[in-house]
Amino acid sequence: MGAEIRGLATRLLNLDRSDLVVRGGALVAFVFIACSWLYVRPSMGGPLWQRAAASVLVILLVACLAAMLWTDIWPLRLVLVLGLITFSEVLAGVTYRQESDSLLLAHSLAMGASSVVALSLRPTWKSAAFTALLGALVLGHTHASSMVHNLGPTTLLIVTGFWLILLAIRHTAPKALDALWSDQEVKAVSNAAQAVARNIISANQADARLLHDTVLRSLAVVAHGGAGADPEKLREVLTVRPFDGGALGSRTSSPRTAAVDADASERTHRAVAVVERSSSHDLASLLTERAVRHSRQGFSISVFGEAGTLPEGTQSAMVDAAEECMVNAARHAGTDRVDVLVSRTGSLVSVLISDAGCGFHPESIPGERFGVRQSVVNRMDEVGGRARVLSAPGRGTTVVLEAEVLEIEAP
Amino acid sequence: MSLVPLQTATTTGPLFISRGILLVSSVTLWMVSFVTAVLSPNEGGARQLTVVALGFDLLGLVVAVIASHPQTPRGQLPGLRLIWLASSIASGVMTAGVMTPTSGFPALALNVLLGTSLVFLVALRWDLLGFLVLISANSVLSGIYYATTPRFGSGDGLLIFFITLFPGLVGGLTVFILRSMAEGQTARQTIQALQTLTEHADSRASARSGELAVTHQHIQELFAKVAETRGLPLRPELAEQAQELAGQLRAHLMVCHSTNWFTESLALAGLESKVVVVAQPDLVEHLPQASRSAVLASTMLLASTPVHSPEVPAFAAAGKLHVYVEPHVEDTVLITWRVTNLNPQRCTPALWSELESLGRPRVQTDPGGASIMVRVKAPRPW
Repeated sequence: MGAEIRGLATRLLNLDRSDLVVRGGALVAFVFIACSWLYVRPSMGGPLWQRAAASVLVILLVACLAAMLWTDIWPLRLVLVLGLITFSEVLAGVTYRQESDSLLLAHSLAMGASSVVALSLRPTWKSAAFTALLGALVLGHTHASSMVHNLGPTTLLIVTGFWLILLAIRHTAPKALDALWSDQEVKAVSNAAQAVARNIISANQADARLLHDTVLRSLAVVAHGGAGADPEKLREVLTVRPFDGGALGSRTSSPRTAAVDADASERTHRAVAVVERSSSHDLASLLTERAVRHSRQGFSISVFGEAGTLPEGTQSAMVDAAEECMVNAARHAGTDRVDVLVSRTGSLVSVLISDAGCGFHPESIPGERFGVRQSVVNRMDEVGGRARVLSAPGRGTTVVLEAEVLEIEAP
Repeated sequence: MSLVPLQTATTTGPLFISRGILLVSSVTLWMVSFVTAVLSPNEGGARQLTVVALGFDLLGLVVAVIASHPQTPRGQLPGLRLIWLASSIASGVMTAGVMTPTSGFPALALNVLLGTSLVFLVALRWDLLGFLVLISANSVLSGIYYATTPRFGSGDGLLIFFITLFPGLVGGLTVFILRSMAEGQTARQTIQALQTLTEHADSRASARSGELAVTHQHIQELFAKVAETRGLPLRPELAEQAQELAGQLRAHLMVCHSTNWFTESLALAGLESKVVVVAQPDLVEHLPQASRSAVLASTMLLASTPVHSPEVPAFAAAGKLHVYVEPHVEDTVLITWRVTNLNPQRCTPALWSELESLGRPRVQTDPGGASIMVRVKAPRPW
């Protein structure tokens, strides 16, 4: 059943828009004729042959409309119109027209169904002439019939209205359907392009963070002559794996190499190494680990509070972003102390990295500086979190990292 | 490659595919009602009531036309729908009031038909549920009008209900079928486009990363030299080379980040030569994720909108499209799409839906084309 529906949908999609409109019109006309017949039939008087003829005509009309679901060749349309005119004449022989205007209306609706042939109008003079001929036949008959039976203009008006509306549908619906389909296609490409672009940007940002947080820092140490660094540790740090400049998405999986602070000339202890992102480590412990790494004589980083263990992606992003803030504070703040406050309120986990240093205008960070933008803001953004930088010259700096964590393990 | 979840463009929009068809239908029905009323034998109070009913019908028609116009602010739509409903009720009650056992039935039927046609117009920019509620309310009201007439119980109710329910049923079914077909089509096309664009993106990424890979190779070589060095501090030439390579690396990173999601998407879609994005650095990145699909879809829909050029008589796809993204007040950005020779009347309903999902679009036309402006909330990310 499902396959049949899908097959039908595919056939409909492959139809020319004009053909689709004709088929829809045939269905609607069928319903109009059937309902009108159901309504007028109980009221019909007159001899038996008239009722029998009316029934046969209704069957013929329904057959014509059923055939129009496959084709709308001109003989079919001609038979349909002639059938409707004859049907109208057979009904005209019955007395209902003079005694009940509701029956008159039902009759008008049935005659209005002839307007379905307007949907078969094609942009050729032959088609236009033939449709005009059919229209003239229907409206001429309706007018003449109204005059003969002294019915007034109601039926003619209604049938004319039907034709006008169907002509408008013929003119507009195929174009509208084409536009709808075309727009859907554009939207599909738009959705796909945005998804792929987002992935590219994400991969680029991950690369940038990786290079900024590792290679650039290491280069900075070398650029300073490696002054103060432990030669063994420096050797370890500089063992960088090759950059994978290959296909999209493959770069983000590059292992994170060690990070070296350019100013870490007086690092006291703990080798700079790849952090094991074990889920057994809670956020505060990992932050403490990073804090110890970047602390040195005359510069301390203290971590307070706890927030349990977060999902790995979020926790890694928060720890890495916080580390970048610690590095920035050590490098630029001109202070000897940074406080890191970890807290959790319900599902909201926040990390505040605060210093009482020189501060800066957040808007004044040049575009070529990747630290805050890529390693903090975008990193948090990618895991659905957010980062806020609160700072002003001479007023210190506080960076707030926040993330909603739905499934959080108890601390 | 694994892709992030698709953020699709808006799926809501005009309920029916063509406003023009509904306008022609409604105007035709009103004119038929008018002529029928003029030629009716009613006199005195009944005639006055008929004229007033026609007036209410005309009011309802005008309100429905306004409510269905793509540039009518969405906030005004509930009020317009209420006005239409009130005028429809007033007209229906009056039309039913002048009905006699021998006349007035066509007038009531035409009134009901017009009401049904106007429901489609009024609900054009609503959702399917709203339309179904409105069409149901209209059906119930039509039944009530009929119940107040002297013909109640004569069997004419069947016709009234047929007239009332059938167009709504056909309309609802058409919307369901077309939407499900369109959604299926979009899903298939999206998957195809994803495959094509991913291959395109991979080839672009490989080409771009060449220079970066070379720089990185040099860095590795430098690090290897440093690792072999005994003792610190390092030789000055190594430090200088490190400084130089750091500068190069930073430059490469800048190049990598000179693009943004918008320009990257347009480039992937093959529109980089057709669409010019003029924006301050990073401003496009301020746009929230929720708005990005609509901004991109609007741009691409505008780029595919046919325009009429004085030089080329036939309609052709839009020429150059400029997109200006400028900072505006209160954490908003002003996005302006400028299309030469564009007639906004030719823009499709899908475009207006996308624009409306961003904000209230304003349109300025001039002899050279048209500009569409939308203010979009875009708070600084930090």
